[in-house]
Amino acid sequence: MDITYDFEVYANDYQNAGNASSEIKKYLMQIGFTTKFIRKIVICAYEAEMNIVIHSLGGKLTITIDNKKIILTSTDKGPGIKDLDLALSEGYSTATEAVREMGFGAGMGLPNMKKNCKFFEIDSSSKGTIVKLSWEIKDETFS
Amino acid sequence: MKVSKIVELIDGKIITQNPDNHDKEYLKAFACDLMSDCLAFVDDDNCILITGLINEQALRTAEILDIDCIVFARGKKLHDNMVNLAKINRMTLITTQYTLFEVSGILYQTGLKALKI
Ligand SMILES: Nc1ncnc2c1ncn2[C@@H]1O[C@H](COP(=O)(O)OP(=O)(O)OP(=O)(O)O)[C@@H](O)[C@H]1O
Ligand SMILES: [Mg+2]
Repeated sequence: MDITYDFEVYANDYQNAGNASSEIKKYLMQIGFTTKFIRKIVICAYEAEMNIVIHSLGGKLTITIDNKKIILTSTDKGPGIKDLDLALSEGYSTATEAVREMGFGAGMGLPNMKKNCKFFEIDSSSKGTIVKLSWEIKDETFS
Repeated sequence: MKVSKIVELIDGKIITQNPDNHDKEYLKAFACDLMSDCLAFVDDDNCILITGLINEQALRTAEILDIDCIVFARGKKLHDNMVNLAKINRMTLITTQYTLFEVSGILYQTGLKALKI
């Protein structure tokens, strides 16, 4: 098994935001992973998806699954994150008041992602931000 | 605490009910308007979500956390799209005139517990 799915995510599209993560959740449930394992992955997918919608010019989520691991990658077209250390600290957010009113801007997204995956990588420039997260598949990750 | 009891206590209105959780006994509640906070702290599908956030993202967050009952405070009207999403994901949605603070206070006093975070 070596499968890749791509989901296009659009800037400022609050109506459809969350659809990609919802699809990813359904797919992981079909494979038969435990709810606990799925929840970790989907929390990350959703946080990444919302970050693309809120903070970027648009991008995509990619999930790749092979026998040993699951890799979730979020790529966008910019404008990038100026200070990565700051962005990764709990509570830091540049979200506007309007975005807060929609339920975002706690500054917990990137810290949540980091906490819920096994390997975390982030790279950002003005051309875009790439967040790569992965999990190991083990016997106990199946229900 | 069953959905029927929650509705009675907060003078709520059921907008849509998941038939599966008719007799479910909820033990805990989490009240919050920032979705990443929910995602950071809720790790219990026996928990209801109390929120003032009236949009699809509240339902998306609940879906991810396997939360199947949401109370919307402050008496706002839910959009049709939210109700559809709730039906697809088998969730119960309740609205009430009470504020987030009042709903939390009433349900805490009558036995729902806080999450340990
Ligand atoms: N894809 C991105 N492109 C540009 N900036 C980003 C991106 N992702 C995150 N950021 C920046 O990093 C900050 C922290 O991100 P994080 O996800 O932790 O919090 P948030 O999105 O502001 O709030 P929350 O995720 O709690 O709703 C953001 O406020 C934003 O400035
Ligand atoms: Mg975020």
